[in-house]
Amino acid sequence: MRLFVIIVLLVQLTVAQNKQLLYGFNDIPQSLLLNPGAEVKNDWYFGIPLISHIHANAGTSEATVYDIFANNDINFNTKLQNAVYSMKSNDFVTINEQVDIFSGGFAFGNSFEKNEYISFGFYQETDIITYFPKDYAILVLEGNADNINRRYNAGHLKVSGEALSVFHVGYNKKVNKAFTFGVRGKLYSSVVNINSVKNSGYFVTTPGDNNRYKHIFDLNMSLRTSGLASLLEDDNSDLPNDIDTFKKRLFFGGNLGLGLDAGFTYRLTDQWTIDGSVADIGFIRHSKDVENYGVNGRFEYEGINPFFPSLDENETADDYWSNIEDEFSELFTVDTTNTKYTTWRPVKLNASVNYAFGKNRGRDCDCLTEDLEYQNAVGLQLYSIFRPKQPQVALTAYYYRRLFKGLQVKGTYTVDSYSFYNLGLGLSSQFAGVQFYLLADNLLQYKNLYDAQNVSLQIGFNYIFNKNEN
Amino acid sequence: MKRYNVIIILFMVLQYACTKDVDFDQINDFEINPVFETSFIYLDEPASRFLDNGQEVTFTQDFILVNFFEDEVLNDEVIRIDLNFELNNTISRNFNIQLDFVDQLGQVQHTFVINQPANSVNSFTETFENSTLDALKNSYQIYFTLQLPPSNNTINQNTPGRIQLQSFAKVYFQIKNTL
Repeated sequence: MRLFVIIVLLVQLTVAQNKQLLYGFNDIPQSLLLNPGAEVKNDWYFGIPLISHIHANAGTSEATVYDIFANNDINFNTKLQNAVYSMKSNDFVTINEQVDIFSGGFAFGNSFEKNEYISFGFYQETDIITYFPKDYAILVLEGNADNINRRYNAGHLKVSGEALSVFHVGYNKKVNKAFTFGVRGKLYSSVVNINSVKNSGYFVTTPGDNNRYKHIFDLNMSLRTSGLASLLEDDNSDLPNDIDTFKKRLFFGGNLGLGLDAGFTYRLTDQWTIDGSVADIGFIRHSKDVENYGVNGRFEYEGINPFFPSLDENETADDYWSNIEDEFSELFTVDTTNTKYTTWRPVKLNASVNYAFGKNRGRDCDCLTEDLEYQNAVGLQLYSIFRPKQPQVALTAYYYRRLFKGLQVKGTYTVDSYSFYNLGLGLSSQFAGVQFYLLADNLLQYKNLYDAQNVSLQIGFNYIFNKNEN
Repeated sequence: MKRYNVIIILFMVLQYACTKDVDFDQINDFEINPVFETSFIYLDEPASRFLDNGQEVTFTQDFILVNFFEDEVLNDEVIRIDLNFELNNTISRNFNIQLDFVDQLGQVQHTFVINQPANSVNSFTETFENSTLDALKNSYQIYFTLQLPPSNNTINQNTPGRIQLQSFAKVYFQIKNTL
């Protein structure tokens, strides 16, 4: 029950795609999803269906729920305005969720020590990012009266979201003692995609030539969607039907795409290791159920001259006014098209440098044949994800410790766009082949989740058969 | 079982993940008051524009159909409108401008007149609030009338000066949470 509560909590409240706790935590087989070239520590494993990997993450780079809804003496509208003024157009909100539907892996190879490994799986992922449309918010909040000559940037509207399923197969090979590499191929099936990231244009009120003001709208806006139109058509009245549609799309009935991950590990010395990976170099081709919307054009308005409408004596003031109304509504008429389009997956880079130390020569090992493993490791990890406006980057320092044979912990300190105070703790425990892991970051923010800017939680169960565990 | 103590402790930490006092009902207090300004009518003509075949034109009238108050957002959220006029008359003649707001039945809902003396600069504001705002919102046509009251100073080809008018509407919104 307790676990259930935690799962609910994490699905509701977690955020962000940086999995700094999982990266390099090679006791957990899912670390191969971050670096297909990681060193594999097991002979085979399978993830317990649906609960082998659950990841949820939500983040905001500036204002938090608490900033706006705190129960205090400050007027709500004041708090709201403060939040709007303090945020920048580069601030964003992200939601990311990932659930493993199934996964597994096994080692093989000709030599006595199997040095090749195949891993595979199927997971569902949702990824949403929206930037704060600051100029729109200011215009609605203040109006243009005190903002003559202010150019409201229509490009501040940027949002993209995708729900998809991913089937993947990875190959990993330990070439020699020092070098391991891996690649993973991915087949994406997009359930729903929404994409509005290439907007430009502006609205401005300036002193006019004929009248007090001239208003200029110059807009070049577009929103591309796939998988959405058919769901909206039935007014959401037929939920079972929609669920059927979702199921079909999850199992490769959606818009398909291909992707690639690649990574390596290189042991510089017995104790120093470097590794790196690039994930989700890939695209999705949106050809089914596509509906795109566009608003394009330029409109200038200075008012009307009703007494002497124009040089053409036959034109009445109302003809003249009607023309202006038509021009105006034409600008805001949404053009709908069904042009196919391609989206690129957000590419993620991971890299780390690691130093292992402190061999355990104590109690519970049988020291005759096996190489003793180091019990501790420290290192630095760099993470970057390419987003519509700019890459988001995070730097992590970690300490890893093997407490017992079946219990490992990792602590992290991360600096990123969200905060400078991100402490994380991960734990992997294994007993009779069943592995349970729990990774949580932003521990300091758990004191008040409403004030949390970014929370990320991962949890999972695997069945693992380890090397040298006979 | 010692190793599992760590797990239990971590569970307990997560259970203590807590929340400070927030009040989502505050959304009911939501209110913003943006103010927009938009150009309205203008006029900039020399005295000779008031001649038709050498005869002085003392009365010019036209109308436009307006439907912006059919939009519910405008209707519900606008609480006040000021029409601001700036006039500059360098002709030696008085003139006046009258605006009539007429509903769909042809009934005049509201009227105002701006009197502009000869050779003068003037500004004028007509405020629409409460009952006058309702009258404006009921309007379907706006009639614009420009009159030159009779005078001995009849305009001819050589009469110097211009009539200039610029104007804008200042629209006050009050947007509340209507959920």
